[in-house]
Amino acid sequence: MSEVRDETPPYVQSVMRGRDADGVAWTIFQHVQPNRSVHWCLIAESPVLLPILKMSPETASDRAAKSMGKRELQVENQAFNNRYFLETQEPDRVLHLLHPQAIDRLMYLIPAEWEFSPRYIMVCLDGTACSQNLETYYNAIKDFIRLIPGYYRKDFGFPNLS
Amino acid sequence: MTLPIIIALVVVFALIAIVVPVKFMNMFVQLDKVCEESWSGIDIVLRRRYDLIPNLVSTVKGYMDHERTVLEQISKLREQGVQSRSVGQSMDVEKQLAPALANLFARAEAYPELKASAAFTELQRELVDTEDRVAAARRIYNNNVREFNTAIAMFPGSVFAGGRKDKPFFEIDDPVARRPVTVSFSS
Repeated sequence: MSEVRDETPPYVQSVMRGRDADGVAWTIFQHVQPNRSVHWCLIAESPVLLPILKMSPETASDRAAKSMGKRELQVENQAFNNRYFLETQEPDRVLHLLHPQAIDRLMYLIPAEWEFSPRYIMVCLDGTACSQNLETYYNAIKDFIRLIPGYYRKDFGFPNLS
Repeated sequence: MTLPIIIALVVVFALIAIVVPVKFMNMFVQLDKVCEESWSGIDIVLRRRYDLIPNLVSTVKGYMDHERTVLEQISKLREQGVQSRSVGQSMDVEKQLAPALANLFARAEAYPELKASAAFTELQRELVDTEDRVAAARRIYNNNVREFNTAIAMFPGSVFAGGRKDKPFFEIDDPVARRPVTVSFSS
């Protein structure tokens, strides 16, 4: 375990890194925000090139912004649309990944802050999260990766360099 | 002093009166083009599937001679699909073709020799792949149609929408949605 700490927030602490039995690299750390609230964040490596996507639990201000015409990506699952606010510049690629099965899998979880970047998936939970919660989300990430369609893996998968 | 202010206000209002409608008109045209593009995305994948079907039928024919009706139905639907030119026509064909193919693969379970055939396995994999691509292209198209329909219905866009009408969604039973979701409980 290594620690990266600055005197004033935001800073990162309790950094742990590892690789699971399937060879997926992961990192866990605590993120202390400027208002001193603490979040646990989990990052897992993706075997395919992902679109950049921010998926956050929908707030009242998001709903108000939507009613005023703010555009967000919508999927064909209204419960999911009500739960999350999706921001992306690559909606088409996101829709390849957010298929009904993947959405159903994400709906099993308590809403959290998700960020998809080309090589990683990150999820942040509030400070009360325990290791079991992190494992639940880690399993969800692995299921999400497993559910990536075969053709998308063919088109956007990274070559196996090992 | 008053006259310059009045002139400035008139100029500002005139600019708004020109800029706002132009902005909305261009947005509608842009969204319309995006819908057209995403429809052609569906069309390309559907045609890819229509190209695979004759190979599938000829591979299967030798093994499943008793299932001639199913094969004839698939070939007929494929012909209709190739000739379809609109969202509605393609949707009608898809509503029948997807279950017909699923039925064929279900019946193929009763023919061990066919299941063991490398050509059949490869075609089945290709068709499942294509089915997933159709589903994704459909989601993309429907998302763009939703954007277009919302833009012409929502104020202030509705004021400038003119005679633009809602575009139809491409609604079929999504085969991907029928697959069960598995949840991992340990890493």
